[in-house]
Amino acid sequence: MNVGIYLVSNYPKKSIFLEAVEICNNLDVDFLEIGIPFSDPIADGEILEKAAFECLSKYDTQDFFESLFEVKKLFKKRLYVMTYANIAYSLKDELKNYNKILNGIILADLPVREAINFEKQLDCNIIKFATPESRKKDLDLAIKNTKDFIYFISKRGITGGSFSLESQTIEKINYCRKQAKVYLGFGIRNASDAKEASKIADGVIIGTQAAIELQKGISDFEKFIKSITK
Amino acid sequence: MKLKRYFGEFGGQFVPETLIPALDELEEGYIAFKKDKKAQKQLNDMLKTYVGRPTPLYFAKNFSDYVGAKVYLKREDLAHTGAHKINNTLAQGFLAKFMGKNRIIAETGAGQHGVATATVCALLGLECVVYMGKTDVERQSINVDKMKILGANVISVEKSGGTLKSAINEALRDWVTNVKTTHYLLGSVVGPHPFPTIVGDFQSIIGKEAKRQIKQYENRLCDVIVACVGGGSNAYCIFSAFLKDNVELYGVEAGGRSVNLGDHSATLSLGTKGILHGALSYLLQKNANVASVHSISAGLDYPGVGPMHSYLKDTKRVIYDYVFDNQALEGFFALSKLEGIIPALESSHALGYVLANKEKFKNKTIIINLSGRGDKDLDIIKAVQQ
Repeated sequence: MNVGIYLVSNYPKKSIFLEAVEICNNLDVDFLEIGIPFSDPIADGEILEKAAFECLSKYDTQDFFESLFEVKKLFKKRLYVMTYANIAYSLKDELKNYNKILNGIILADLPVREAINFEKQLDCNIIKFATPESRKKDLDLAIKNTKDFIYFISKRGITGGSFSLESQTIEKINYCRKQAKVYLGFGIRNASDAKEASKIADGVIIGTQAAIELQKGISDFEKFIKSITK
Repeated sequence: MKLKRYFGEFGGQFVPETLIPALDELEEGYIAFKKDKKAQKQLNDMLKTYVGRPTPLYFAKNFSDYVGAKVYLKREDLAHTGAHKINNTLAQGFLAKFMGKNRIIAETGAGQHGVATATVCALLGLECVVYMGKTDVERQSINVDKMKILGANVISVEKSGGTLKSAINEALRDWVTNVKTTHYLLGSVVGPHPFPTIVGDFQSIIGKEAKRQIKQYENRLCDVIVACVGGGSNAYCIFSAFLKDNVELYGVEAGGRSVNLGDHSATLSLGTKGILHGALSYLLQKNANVASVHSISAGLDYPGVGPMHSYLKDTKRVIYDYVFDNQALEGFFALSKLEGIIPALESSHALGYVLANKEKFKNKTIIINLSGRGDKDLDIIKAVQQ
């Protein structure tokens, strides 16, 4: 199973964030998603929104991006950026500087049908989504256009909350897996959730809980990552 | 998908993937609703008997003499609930019922759309949740009281500035969570496709009536139409009937306190292209993040704008400009004292623009869209006077 950890860029502050990146590297996390804070994160729950707002009050968007070069030095495996469409759209030209170090971009408010056009403008790999609401034609469109994993959002709603899967959702995941890699995200909080998810998906993405552990301190964060990757 | 997703390069569906099936369902439901003769008749009857349509086109002689032009007012302030918002909420309420959705969520800034939504939910027996920024809850308390009386659950949103933008964020979060049972009754020509098209259609009655009425009075069309622009529904829907005619169209935005970012809401005049709340349009932003905005009128302080307005700006069909808070207040007091009509502070921007540009409009025949009445703004006016 692939484990992906979502870290908000420079959260809670740059030095601790880079320490967390290093821990993820040492504990064999398979990929990182670095969140670029946005003023209106409509797909995020309270915890990640608060983290984004704290960072926005301390740093500029430029700072969040520049940290990516340092992340790349510390973390040897795959690296993604996760943010919102306006950041990518408004900073199209700047983003090109990061194409070499990024495996792809995840945009929380960019559905597959818009991503197909957007990808051409940005000239990079944009991750495609599937959800419990997706119809067969939506899944087919995601499968047909994916160059990487499909990010399957486990539930209706925003980041945070708890992990549960409807039987119909499991069927949809199975359908996607016949033709693409599928990673599950949203609501995965601990080792037992991750274990549950690994039975039906190729990987998991953990965001909110990682932020909560990092708030407690770097050693709590390390313990948490260990519990997932061991 | 059968309807156009974009207006030129503007529009689209920049929302979480979870909402895509719901947006498709809404588009299909809307197309079926428009074809259903019985549903359309029911809606049209209610627009007459419940909303009070057609609203008058009033020749404002005193105001005309004062500005040196011939000014007509399209009296949306006389529609039930005191603003144009009811045209859209009534139609979307019927549409939601037609689609079998029994829970309605909405955002509101000034509270006019919230009240109009709560009104229609009371009428049609729908559950109603209205998201409203904390700042707006405080400055538009009369409308909050009205919504509660009408049976709505008003949720005050503190996060990210506590204005209209925050209310839309929360409504979208609610929708993505409760998408199966819930219809998001969006209040302006903003948001992801098909909302701008649907709201634009449900409000287009304003322009159609105004066109018929001005022909009756003048035996010709007017020279100029002026309307205020926040999200842009009242402006687009009076403009839309005249887009192919030789009529000058002016959209007036909120210049607020000054042209410094954070002091105004003049999105089309001073913004750049960006993506917010599901659509690519002009946007007030800094470093790719949405800027804070200000206006004396709670209904105009929105950093985005409907995508068709961005298209009409770039194709130069409509002239977009702005007036400052104090100029809007001049419009507010001029109409109150000269005509005995207290306008909403939003609509006062259109009035203030005509006052500030007397030379440009000299001897022209003008329709100003009086999108709402000013009762809700008396607290703000009192604070200004003190």
